[in-house]
Amino acid sequence: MDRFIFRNPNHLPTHFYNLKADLEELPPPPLNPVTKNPLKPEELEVIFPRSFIAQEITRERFIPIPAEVLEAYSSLPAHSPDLRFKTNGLS
Amino acid sequence: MDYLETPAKIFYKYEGVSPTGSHKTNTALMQAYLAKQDGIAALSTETGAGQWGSALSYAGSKFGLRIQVYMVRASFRQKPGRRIMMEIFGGQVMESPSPTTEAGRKYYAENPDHPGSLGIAISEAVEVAARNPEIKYSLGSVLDAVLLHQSIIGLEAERQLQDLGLLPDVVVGCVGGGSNFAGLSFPFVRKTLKEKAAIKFIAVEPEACPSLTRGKLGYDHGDSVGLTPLLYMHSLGKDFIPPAIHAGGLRYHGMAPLVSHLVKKGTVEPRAYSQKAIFEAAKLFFKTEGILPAPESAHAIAAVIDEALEARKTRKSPTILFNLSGHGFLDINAYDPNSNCV
Repeated sequence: MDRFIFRNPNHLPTHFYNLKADLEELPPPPLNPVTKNPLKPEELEVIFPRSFIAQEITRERFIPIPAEVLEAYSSLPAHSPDLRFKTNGLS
Repeated sequence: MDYLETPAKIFYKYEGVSPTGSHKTNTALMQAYLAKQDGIAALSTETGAGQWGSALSYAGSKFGLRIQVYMVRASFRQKPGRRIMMEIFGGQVMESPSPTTEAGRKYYAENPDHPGSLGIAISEAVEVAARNPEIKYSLGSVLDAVLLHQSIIGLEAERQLQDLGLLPDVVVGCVGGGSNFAGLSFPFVRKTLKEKAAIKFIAVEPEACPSLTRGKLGYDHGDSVGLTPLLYMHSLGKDFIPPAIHAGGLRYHGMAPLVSHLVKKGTVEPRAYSQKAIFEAAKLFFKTEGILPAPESAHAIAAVIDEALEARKTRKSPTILFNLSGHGFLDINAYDPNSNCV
């Protein structure tokens, strides 16, 4: 078996995966630090970009990766190969 | 590894070949892109060992955003290499606690050499964003959206292993805030939920900052001052100041709520290793595999070695997959036998 498994462009995902879509029960929600009530998404806008908040609260299973970001991921040199440990094949 | 004489098949996803040497670029690029789309001029953030700060500085340079980084003082002094890298990419780096924010001054006034913590650095970066409309805050771990972005690690590994006709029996990652572990493991957690696959998930943390194995599950702040929302997570308490271990990226009092949830459900097994044990594992890995691991990633290696040795005892041949989340070339001083090992 080859030790190096280099990136095949077909392996690069086109979508992010959101575990929350598959969980029957979610963790208790974030709370407002002052009121202690469940946080409304718009309350996060003081500190976070609005588009980021949308990704924080979504329960969609697959979120498309924008073309510009996909391009950035795929243009990185040998970005993320899998490697196989050398074993002596005792199996 | 030949050395281990194990029947286990061991694979690792190597994120250290990213431009800044860790998995952090995966979410940094996405966060910088989203901020740019929203017309934001600058992002403020915190960093421990510097992996997150350098990744966001890189992403900021790519998408045209100013990046302000509060770097935990213990790491700022231990790891000047990553500060230099951040500055190459145009990041502005401040030692935290700093005298530049109200949050930082509280600690800085007590002790100008305060070692800092990720919790304090987060307070400083959040304060800067809250006070300046043109600046927003960016976090490198913990949040659901960050874990979402990191899922590309596991999705790609899943396809690569599929080509070999394999599905992992064991998935391992180190945990500070939980993002590299979640990134690798969540697509495989889906397999256990949807296809009833039997996969063991191991999250490895430092004994010196044991939020999953010793922390309490409940609501706590993500930062030290109490500016952030309350998150339901395993936490050592927002005031916990971990010792200045070399795995700066794992010096965080809390844990991603989704990782905490999976630990509570019994899906993920948490383990803690000593700094001595993880450096032994890291040195062995460097000598046998030729890659110098980041001290953070060395936690995963230590657990993988234990799993591989267990397989030798039981004569089973599990497929083990772990996340080698970053390289350790900028942490090389930590490998000095004379360095301060906890």
